[in-house]
Amino acid sequence: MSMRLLRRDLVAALVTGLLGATASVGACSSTENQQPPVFNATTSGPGTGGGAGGEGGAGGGGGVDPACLGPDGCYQCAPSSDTQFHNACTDAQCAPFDNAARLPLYNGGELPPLP
Amino acid sequence: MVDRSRTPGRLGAAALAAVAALAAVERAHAADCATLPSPIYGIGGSAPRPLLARLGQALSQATPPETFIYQAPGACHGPNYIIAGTKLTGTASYWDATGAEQTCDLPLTGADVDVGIGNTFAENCPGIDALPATVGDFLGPVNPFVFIVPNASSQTTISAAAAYFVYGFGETGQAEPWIDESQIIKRDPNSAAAIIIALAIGVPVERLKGVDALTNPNSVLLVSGSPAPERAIGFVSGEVAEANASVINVLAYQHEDQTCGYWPSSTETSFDKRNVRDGHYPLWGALHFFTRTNGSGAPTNPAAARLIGYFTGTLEAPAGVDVPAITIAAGSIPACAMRVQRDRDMGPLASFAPEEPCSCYFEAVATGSTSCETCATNAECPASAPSCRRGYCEEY
Repeated sequence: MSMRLLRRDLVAALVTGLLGATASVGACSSTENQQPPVFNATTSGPGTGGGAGGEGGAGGGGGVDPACLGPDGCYQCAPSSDTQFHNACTDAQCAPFDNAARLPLYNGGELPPLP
Repeated sequence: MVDRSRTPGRLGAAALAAVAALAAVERAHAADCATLPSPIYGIGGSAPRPLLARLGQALSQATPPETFIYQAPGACHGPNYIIAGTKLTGTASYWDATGAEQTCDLPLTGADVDVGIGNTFAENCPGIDALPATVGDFLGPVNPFVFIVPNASSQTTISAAAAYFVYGFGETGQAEPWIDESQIIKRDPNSAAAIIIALAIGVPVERLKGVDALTNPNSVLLVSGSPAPERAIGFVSGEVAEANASVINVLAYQHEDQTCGYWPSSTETSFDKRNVRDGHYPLWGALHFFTRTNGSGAPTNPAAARLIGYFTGTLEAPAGVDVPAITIAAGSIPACAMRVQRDRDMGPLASFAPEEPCSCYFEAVATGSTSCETCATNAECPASAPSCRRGYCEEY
């Protein structure tokens, strides 16, 4: 669990440092998708819509080059980290899973240890 | 208190009993494995079974014919048998020229394993800290892994966090609708599917909750046959999921740093595997061939060298045995169509530029169409895609 928490803290820090994105939809083409963008300066820390460790941010350097932010908050430069690959701009269909709404134990991304 | 993790549900037990009964009938008519033409003996996972079945059929049709003989108790048995020198015993499957799966009897003293096969690195397997220097690990095509639900389920997507609660907590995870441990289907720690899913969702593989289905096909049986379809969930290889698309649905998967879930392909119903190939879909593992090697790292076993050579391209396959086409048709992805790679399961992604790319060919075979231009020589290709490979103009 410590590795998970460590990664979540790192991701949260990276997200907090992001600049520039203003779009209000996610990085894919699903008509279902009304999730917040991954790369969004207004997103701070783990919480809405993220996965097991909360929402992601761009890997490396503590921030994202504004030139790499796509119109929907996706990553439009050549990816080099997992988060950038996972959130690269794409027209692929996607379907969001709302962790906060569907998981009573989600607790803003602070996942409880296994029983 | 009943340990449900080791107690299949009633329907699950019935389904597994039916499978066992069918196997018993097969054994009654089994041939002697040693009498089959040019046998290649393998053991490992059931995740690549669709690919191995197609390969087995093609090899049986070849001139001269070869026979691929396989047992599939789990991916980790592949490297473990090779390392320990354990012999195959009992019965095994092979595929005849019509593609029908047949069963043959192994020698009473056992048969030497030529190659171990699984979709995970050996270091993730129980009992293996590292491969001995005398055992080689040869990489093959990439197989996605997917969460599946019955066709009757209304569910379309799952997140890593949700899977953490489903498979890490079971009933107490409150991750509706997947809270009934008798309907949560899992695999044991020798399974590549279990290893990769467990790594992705942050639950130790030995602590996964649910009913152990024993194989990928059994996972499909238990999920698709669930008496409570909305509550049923499992995971299998992409190959096995594609082969059973009429009875199960694949869920989109949203990793911990994503805000939307993706399918392996660019849409729920397509077959282009674009999200695996470009890094959006993280649940996948390359096929590994394990065999004894010499000081130069080459296989010492001639049968293993043949099989591995067919996949790596170092040995020309028999006429009519088109390994890349067989791989794609089975639902896997040749390395030449990948744009990302890893050096360990669920490890960091890195950009990958294959030496001889085949993305156009892959799309053409996998989906039946491609926007790439067809060609016979480089001279027919545009400057933007100047290399004619396998009949299509590739970018280099």
